[in-house]
Amino acid sequence: MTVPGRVSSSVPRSGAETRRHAGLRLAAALLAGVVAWSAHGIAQAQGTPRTGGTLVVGQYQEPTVYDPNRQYSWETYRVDKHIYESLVAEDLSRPAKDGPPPLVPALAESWQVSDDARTFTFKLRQGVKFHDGTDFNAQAVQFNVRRYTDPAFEFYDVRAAATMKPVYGNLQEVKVVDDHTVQFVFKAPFVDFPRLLPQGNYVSGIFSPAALKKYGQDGLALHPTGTGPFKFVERVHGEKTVLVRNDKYWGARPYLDRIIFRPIPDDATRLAALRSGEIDILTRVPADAADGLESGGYTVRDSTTAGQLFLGWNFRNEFTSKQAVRQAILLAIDREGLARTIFKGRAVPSYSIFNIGNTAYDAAQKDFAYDPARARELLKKAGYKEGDVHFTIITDVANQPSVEWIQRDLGKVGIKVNVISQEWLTYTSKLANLAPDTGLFTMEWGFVTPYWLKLAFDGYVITRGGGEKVVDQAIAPAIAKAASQTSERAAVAAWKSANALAQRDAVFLPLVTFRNHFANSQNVQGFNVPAQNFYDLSKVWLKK
Amino acid sequence: MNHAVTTTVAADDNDNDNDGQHAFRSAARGRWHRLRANRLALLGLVVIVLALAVSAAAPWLAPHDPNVAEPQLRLAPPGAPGYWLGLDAQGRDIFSRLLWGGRRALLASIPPVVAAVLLSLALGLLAGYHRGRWPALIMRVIDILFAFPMVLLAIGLATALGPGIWAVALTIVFSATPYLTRVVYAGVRAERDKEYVEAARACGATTADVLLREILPNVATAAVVYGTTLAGGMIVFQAGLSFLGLGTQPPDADWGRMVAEGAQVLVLGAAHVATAPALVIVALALAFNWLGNGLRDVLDPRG
Amino acid sequence: MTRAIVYRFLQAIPIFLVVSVLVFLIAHAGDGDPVTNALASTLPQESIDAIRKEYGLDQPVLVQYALWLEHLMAGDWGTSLVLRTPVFEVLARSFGNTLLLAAAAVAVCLAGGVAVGVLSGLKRGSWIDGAAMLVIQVGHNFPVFWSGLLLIWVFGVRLQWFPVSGMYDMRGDQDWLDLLHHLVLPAIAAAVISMLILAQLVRAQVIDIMGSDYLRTFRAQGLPRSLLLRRHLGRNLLSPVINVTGLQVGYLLSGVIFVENVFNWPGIGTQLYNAAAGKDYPMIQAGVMLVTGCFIAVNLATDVALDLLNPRLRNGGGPA
Repeated sequence: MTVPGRVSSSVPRSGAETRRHAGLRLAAALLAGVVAWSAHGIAQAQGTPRTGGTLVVGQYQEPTVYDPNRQYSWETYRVDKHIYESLVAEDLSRPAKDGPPPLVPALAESWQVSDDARTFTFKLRQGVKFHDGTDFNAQAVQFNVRRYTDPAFEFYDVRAAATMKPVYGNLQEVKVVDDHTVQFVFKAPFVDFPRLLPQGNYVSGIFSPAALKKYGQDGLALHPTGTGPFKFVERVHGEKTVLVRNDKYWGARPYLDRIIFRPIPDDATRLAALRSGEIDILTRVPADAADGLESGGYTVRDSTTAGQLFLGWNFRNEFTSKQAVRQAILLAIDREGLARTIFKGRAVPSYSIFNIGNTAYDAAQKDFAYDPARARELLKKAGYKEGDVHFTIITDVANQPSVEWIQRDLGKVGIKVNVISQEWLTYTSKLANLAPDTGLFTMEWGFVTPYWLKLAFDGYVITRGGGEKVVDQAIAPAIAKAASQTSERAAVAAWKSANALAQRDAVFLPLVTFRNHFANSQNVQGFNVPAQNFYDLSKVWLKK
Repeated sequence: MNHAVTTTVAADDNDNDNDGQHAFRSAARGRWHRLRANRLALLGLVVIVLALAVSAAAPWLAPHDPNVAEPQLRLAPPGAPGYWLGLDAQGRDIFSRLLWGGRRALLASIPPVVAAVLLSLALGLLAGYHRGRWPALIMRVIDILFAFPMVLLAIGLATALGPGIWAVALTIVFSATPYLTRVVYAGVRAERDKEYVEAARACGATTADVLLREILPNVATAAVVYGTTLAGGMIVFQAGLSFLGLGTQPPDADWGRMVAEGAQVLVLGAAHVATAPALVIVALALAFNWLGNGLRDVLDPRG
Repeated sequence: MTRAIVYRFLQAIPIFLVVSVLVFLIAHAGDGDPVTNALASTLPQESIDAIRKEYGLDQPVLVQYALWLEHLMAGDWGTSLVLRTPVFEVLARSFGNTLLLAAAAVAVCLAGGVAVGVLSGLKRGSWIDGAAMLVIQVGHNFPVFWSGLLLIWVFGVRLQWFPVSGMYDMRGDQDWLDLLHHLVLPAIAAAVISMLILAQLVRAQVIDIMGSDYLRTFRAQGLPRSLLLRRHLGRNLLSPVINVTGLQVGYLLSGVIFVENVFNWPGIGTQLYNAAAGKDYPMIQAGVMLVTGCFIAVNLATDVALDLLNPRLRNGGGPA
């Protein structure tokens, strides 16, 4: 190897000189060697991904069904977003601190929005094939959309239609302009439409029409066929879902050979599985475990994702239907203390239905600060004595500690709370029909788009809560106005005003946003948790 | 299915024997066993009475309110000042929760077993004594309940009635009754053809007289013995149902629930949260076991 | 003899039917239904009604039951309302997993119970006897969900000798050796509950045999104890062991749900628990029938085996 700056000479020198030169040369050689070796090491740790290996992800819930138009949980989307792609995607490789992930082209190379935000024209990527070999084109997209919007369509599906309604309820028509151009026309302005395409709920993942025709409406979930970087291999309920790399993928080739998703609902067992190496990525890190994991050499990812833990009201309950009571309750709960104590700082208190990471989030827009004295005043003014107000809070087992915290805080202002905590599935059945003595129910959800306010209002205030007549009548029109804006900037401003009204009337009870959802072993590289509820595994690779 | 009961009763010789054939050394050993067995039974009785007394006195004995939490001190290990057994994941005093949880555990297991014993005596006597179709029908129904997996029954009842003490109590009654009824039934069948029964009938005794005065005393001991042992198993079972979320609802203290909540923090190194209630469950179940065995030795030395 | 067997078999059928009706009624009792559970989101009422109609849930319960029975006779177990897959596929697999676990547990229970029983019986009265029986008694009364967790914590996480969850190593070959490795901890946890009765039984039998005349005669003649024990123990134990094992299998199956929960074993216990919670009627129905059928079959087999071993019955006598 050449020593930098030195030219070897064939002229013999004196003994001492030769020795000195030799010494310098040796030193330089060593130095160069060290530099080269550490450079290689750095490259190894940072950027030379290794192709191959099987990644195992530990999930906290069993996924629902792998049918983009019928599924409804984040854990499901975390799996099948690698199978089905939408026209538009989010850049999930951006770290959480960068804020909401920007929209990038996926199956559509580009798109245009009309001035009135009612018409969306997508130019589709060419040469893309579904996993079963059939072509992806505008006809395929139209087939997909007609499945859940056109009752006259041969392959119309009631369930899919019901699920996709929040996004496509206002669709006027979907046109095939040519083989690679498709156009959506809505009856009203719909600025958020592109953003909603790749979300975990109501996802417009494109499936292969041939697959639907072959396997039927129910069968599609058993043979998920999309265009994504991974292909479906098999699913065993309660055990695993196996994906394999799609070697014919139109985009960057993924590194992993296989991904296996394992549902392990029990927190303790899931944690033990990570520590014993049975899983590589842990979903839903218990707050108490985070410190131990970090000191154990695991990486606990910091990200406020795009959801939060909040509570919805039962507006038919005799107490929570009163604005004064709702406001008092919000004043009485020490959300800061909850985040600090129960979650050991691994959560941030939330004072708005817009979670951190939402494009309309404004840290200054808070509903009520912790003030138990004022809570007592409000209750007294409304004519309630100590112990008069009593109701039930229903929750799933995972959020029981937070609800018990609320129970104690409300007890301090004279409100008596009864808690019912159940397994997730049993809990969701209780949600369908809220008992009259139920005052609040827990929910974890959220979106990156401010359209979330409308979804939350329609779903939890009107439908679940029955609050149409009870709440401030100005909220619904404000929301409608925000939804019908034609520019993003005007929309965000309008959403914020609507939110202000909602906050004043206390139609939601935001609680906390979890900061550490995922943890992984050191073997996992390239794993990023963006400010979203899901991740992209196509860029992940394993060290060994 | 009769085999199940008679053979178990006959062969389950726990430390007691009447083998005069044995050498002197063995006889001494035998007596030593009987003494020891009864000592265990005595210990069991003491534990149970203590548990009942302490649970009844929970409102006065518990140093803290079982539902009030000090979140700053959560997961503190035993020995923390004022908190003998430490605090749980919510920051509640484990000792107080044990005391209060005992009420629920005992309430959910003992009365249902007592009810099952009474029910099984009634059913067993009727079915075992009479001939004809009705006894066969009763035993078929018993078979059905026997065939139904207990935990599924619990889930079903919890879904229908809502989780809580009623679902658990009913499950225990439905689980214990078939087993005990078979015991009584077998006993009654064995007794009804004996001479003293015939003699009583010849003297003009009514069926009720025969059943209650002649046969009942003989089969009651078996029912009581099995019932006592069963009670121990039911304490564990009831804790298991709470563990699954079918029993007591939060934030009320309940041993099974405490173990479930403690299990979550076990992996983090806070083993004390689940250990205390688990040990208490084992202790009480053992106590019932020993008492049951001792009762059998005393009341039915033939074994 | 054969008549007795056939008679017992026929008796099982009405039990089966009654259980099916009971399950149907209980499953449909209470509020909530699979539609709103499954969707678990906020849909307008017309959508929910439309879906309910599609699943046939708008019809009266008796009609639904009749339809279900009709399908069952034709061999169609139905489609899960939540998972949208044929019930049979899902249940067959998970039930198989449970049976595997139960079989392993029975094996451990037999081995452990017999070993401890023999040991205690031979060393009767000594501290070994007392200690062994005490350990087994404690194990019997130990809540299995706790013992399971302890096993996971000690042998899985700290010592890393055994895996902590599931049936196979996801990345590995998933061969039977891997399966055995995963079976050890859950089988031990499940078996410890049932070892007590077996151990007590074996111990009593050993004591009886050791104290019997003929054995003392043989011993006086100098024959080794172990040989005699092996010969006579086996024969005398068979009947009660089968009996108790038969009972314990039922008990075991019932307790297996806890073990499945703790060890994340993909068995029928968790499947049914989720089905009940999600009001997945076809799954609940078929699952309970399967487990009950298994119970009944095991009881039947036990009874038949005992009858076969009972010389009195073999000669045509009535049931004991």
